Amino acid sequence: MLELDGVAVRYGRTEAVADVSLHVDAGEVIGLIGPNGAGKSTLLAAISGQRRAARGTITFQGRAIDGETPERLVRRGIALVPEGRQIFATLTVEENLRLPTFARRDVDADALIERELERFPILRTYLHQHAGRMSGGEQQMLAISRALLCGPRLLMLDEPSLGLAPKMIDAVFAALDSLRQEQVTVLLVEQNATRTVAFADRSYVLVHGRVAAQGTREELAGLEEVTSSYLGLEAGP
Amino acid sequence: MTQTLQHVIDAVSLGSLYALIALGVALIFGIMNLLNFAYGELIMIGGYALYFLRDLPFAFQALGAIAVVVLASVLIERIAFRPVRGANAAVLLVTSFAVSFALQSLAIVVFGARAKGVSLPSWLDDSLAIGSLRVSSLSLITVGVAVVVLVTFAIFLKRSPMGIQMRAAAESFGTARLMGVKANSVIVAAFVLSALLAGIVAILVVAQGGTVSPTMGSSLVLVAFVATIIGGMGSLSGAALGGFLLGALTVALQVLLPESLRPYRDAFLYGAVIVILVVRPGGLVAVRSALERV
Repeated sequence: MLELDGVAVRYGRTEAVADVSLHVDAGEVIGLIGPNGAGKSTLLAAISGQRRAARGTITFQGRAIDGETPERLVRRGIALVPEGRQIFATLTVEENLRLPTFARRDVDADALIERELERFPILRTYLHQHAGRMSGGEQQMLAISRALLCGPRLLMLDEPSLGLAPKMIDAVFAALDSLRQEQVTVLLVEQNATRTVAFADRSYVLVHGRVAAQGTREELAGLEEVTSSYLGLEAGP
Repeated sequence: MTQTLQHVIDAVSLGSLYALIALGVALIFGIMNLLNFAYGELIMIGGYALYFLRDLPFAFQALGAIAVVVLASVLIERIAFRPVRGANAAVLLVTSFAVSFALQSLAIVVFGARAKGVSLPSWLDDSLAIGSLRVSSLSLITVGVAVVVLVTFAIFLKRSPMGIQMRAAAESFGTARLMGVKANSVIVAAFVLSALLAGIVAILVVAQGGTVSPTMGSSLVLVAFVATIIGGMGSLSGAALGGFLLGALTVALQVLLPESLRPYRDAFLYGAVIVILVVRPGGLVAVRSALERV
């Protein structure tokens, strides 16, 4: 579904992503972990059209998408839950939910919104209030719902548990688990490496803008450098 | 009492005009982060359009002028601002200065630097007697137009899909695009709405002054920027409120200052603006950021 081949992304002279190749198959949940500054968020920005790749190619459903605008990529089926949630604080929860449906033709927006309200019932409580009034965890539910209302084939999440209380982190991962049941393809960037690797079908470890390791939880657990540096796990035999 | 009422009407009338101008500037700033100095020249273009359409019935003259301003605004966006879209604020600011000076210079070359008289219907100069109070038709029309326009804008921004997209884009343009909001559509819509306001302002300003000149928009755009800043950068309601407040303050100072200090009215006015910004640095209606409660 998504394939990156030798992708590099720059901020001026700084190369935030040096050389990343990865692939995501339909229905997979892929984790992307690594230390601060490894280039994880930059990579999502490149895939979602917010930044252009300086080198390499990004292919989505067999089609090169380098240089396409974020709004066009949304229409192609790529949605991003951005870091820090970025909900529209001065819009009501309903307006936040309705916004992505304007870009979709031939859909019953009310029915889709109702489905999201059933997924996250807490949103119904705040439906006609400014979204900025909600707690961080509730805002994260809204951010995920809003991205799902884009009708994504690939859902990318950037640090969805950042700044949340443990109970809320559990709720976010429970929501991601329900998406897995619905066969939604997910690319998950997280600081919480242990939980991400345990949750994902496969994971990539990004260090200094390059893929340092990749594999399933069991495969990564066998790599001593990865386990000691990022996962806090005992290396396998 | 009559005198006080007269001053209140003047204050509301001037405040209404400033609110319309400020809203036009705030619309573009909120979405593009662009302080559009060329906005004053849109008002100037509207003035000259009124001058050239002076032989038409007033309704056609007014609608024609608004249409010319909208067309000019869309062209300016396409030719001057779209190529630098996404550049830093300094580049956008210099570009808007360049467009402003280019249009002013063009007007001087084509129409000359001297002001030209524009005749509008005489009923705009009438005054109504309400008891012992005499109110100019134009003051009432200005207030009425401002109320209708601001209410219509509020409904449009609150209820229509494009309005919701514009409010989202004004809060975070990048995130709005991630929700499928088309950058070009929203920006063009903002330029069109902003031009509609500039066209209406042009008619009101020409009706008040009776003349058009290449520099007629310069002082107005400064007023709009100040109103936008005291209202709260990025807040549309704040800009309208800032405009009303600035107009009211202007009239209040004109009335209350001793005659010997009236030549320094603007110094007092902008001194008051500084005080407002010291007390509320984010403006009167600070754009609310997401509350970060865990």
